[in-house]
Amino acid sequence: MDSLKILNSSSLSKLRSALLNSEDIPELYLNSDIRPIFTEDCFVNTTIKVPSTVPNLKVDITSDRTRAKDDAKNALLIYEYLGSLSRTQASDTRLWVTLTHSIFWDYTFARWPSISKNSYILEHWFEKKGGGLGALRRNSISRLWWAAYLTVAPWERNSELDVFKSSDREKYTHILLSQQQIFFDVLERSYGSSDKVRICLLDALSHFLPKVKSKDNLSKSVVKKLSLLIKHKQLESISINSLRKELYDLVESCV
Amino acid sequence: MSTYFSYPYPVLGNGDDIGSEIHDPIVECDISDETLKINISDLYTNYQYIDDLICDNKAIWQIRLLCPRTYVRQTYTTKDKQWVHHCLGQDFEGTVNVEIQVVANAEMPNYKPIAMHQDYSDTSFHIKPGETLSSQATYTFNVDKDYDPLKAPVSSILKIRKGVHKEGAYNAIFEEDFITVELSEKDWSEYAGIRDRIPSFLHASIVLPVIAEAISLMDRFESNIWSSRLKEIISNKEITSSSSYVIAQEILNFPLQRAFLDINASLDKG
Repeated sequence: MDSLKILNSSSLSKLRSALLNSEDIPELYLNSDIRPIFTEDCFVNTTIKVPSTVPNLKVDITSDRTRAKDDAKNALLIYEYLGSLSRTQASDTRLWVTLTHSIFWDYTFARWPSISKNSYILEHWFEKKGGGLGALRRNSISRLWWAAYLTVAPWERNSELDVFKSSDREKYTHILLSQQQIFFDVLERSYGSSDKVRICLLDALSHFLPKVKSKDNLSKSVVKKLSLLIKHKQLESISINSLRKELYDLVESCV
Repeated sequence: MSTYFSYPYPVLGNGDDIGSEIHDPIVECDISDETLKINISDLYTNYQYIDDLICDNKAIWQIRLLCPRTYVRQTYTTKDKQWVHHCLGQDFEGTVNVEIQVVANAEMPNYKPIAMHQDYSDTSFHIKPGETLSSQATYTFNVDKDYDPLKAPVSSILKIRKGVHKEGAYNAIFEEDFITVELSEKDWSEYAGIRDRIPSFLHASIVLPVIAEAISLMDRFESNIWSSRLKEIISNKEITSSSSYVIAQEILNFPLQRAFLDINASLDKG
């Protein structure tokens, strides 16, 4: 295991500043063959230990839709590589910008190829500051880690979720990343930060997703109804079984 | 705590749904690297009907901790008048909100609060577990382990550095954890000569307009360190103005006045 080094604040600031101050897209982001070059003094050591072999993240570049196909597999690889970071570590922009600008440079280019504005680079190579819940969920690598962290065997971190215990520890990661719309509707909404609501919702979706033609439309309808419901009902205060049934019924009503 | 939202039944503290004020609890936080201790006391509404429901276990206080930066949303319930909780310090960074309200803890087929607005007439309501019974009180604090709010220097939120442009206007960047002002190369060389001699001039000419703009952008950049620190400075100084320019001047201890005095003194010396 090696200690992971991350860019120091000053190097990160210069990198971001070059992007923000440029009206055109900087040349660095126009060609994946050009790689950012950092000297040794640009980095600081961390206590994060990583295997010496970097995971090989795959992207099917056939079309925009296929590029997301391996998100769940890649999320699990990143989670295995970085391990269970503390939430504070995982909210550090320096970590994610280092990864997108170094070992996952090629992956980031392959997964997020539609570079037409600097804000797109800011979102997927950096962290879109001020972007609320979307900020960490847009960076090419942090989105994968957070997706896995919040969904792999959730019953191990929250005993209330024991009712969902399954031999498939990665079940909810696969559901979350099965559609970009679901990822957005769950992780970029405040209720998605609640372990109970997130897992009950993903579980309910898993029952009905195979029964609908448009999975995106199902997710959108569910979010609309759920957003109305939580205005007067505090779902996290009801028992896990009641919440599970409430969300199952809600998703069923949208099918 | 007066808010208004159209609920399908009367909610305490929601506009004039119920003719009674709601009492605000006291929230104290003790922050260290290892733990975040939250102590909430005075948990009562001062509205007998709901306080009785809490005693009877039909209603309950819901306390929610939210930290957008670390994706924390934890919810707890209590019927006690005091609630103390220790959280793991490493789970929190930046802005933390504590949301407190009363929710139904049991099904109540004949919910009929006293002193309802006359529009409700003699109606009773069917309330289900989890439904909101009082409006929400929100308390915000900042988990910033390296920051001393008592000193609160402007340098803790704003940095000035040399930009890459030869000359022209300075830029202010709000997207980073600290606000960064980038001076042109030409201005930077002049800045180096003046910053130690008449710093008040720099406050009036550079820092004041940037801080004023930052105040208007605080909510948009709420997850940035500078935003939570700026909010804390404003709160500590108990500034009541709603004008971002006035607030900025108070934070900087009236930089224009100081600049005038300093420049005049400098000119008088010859």
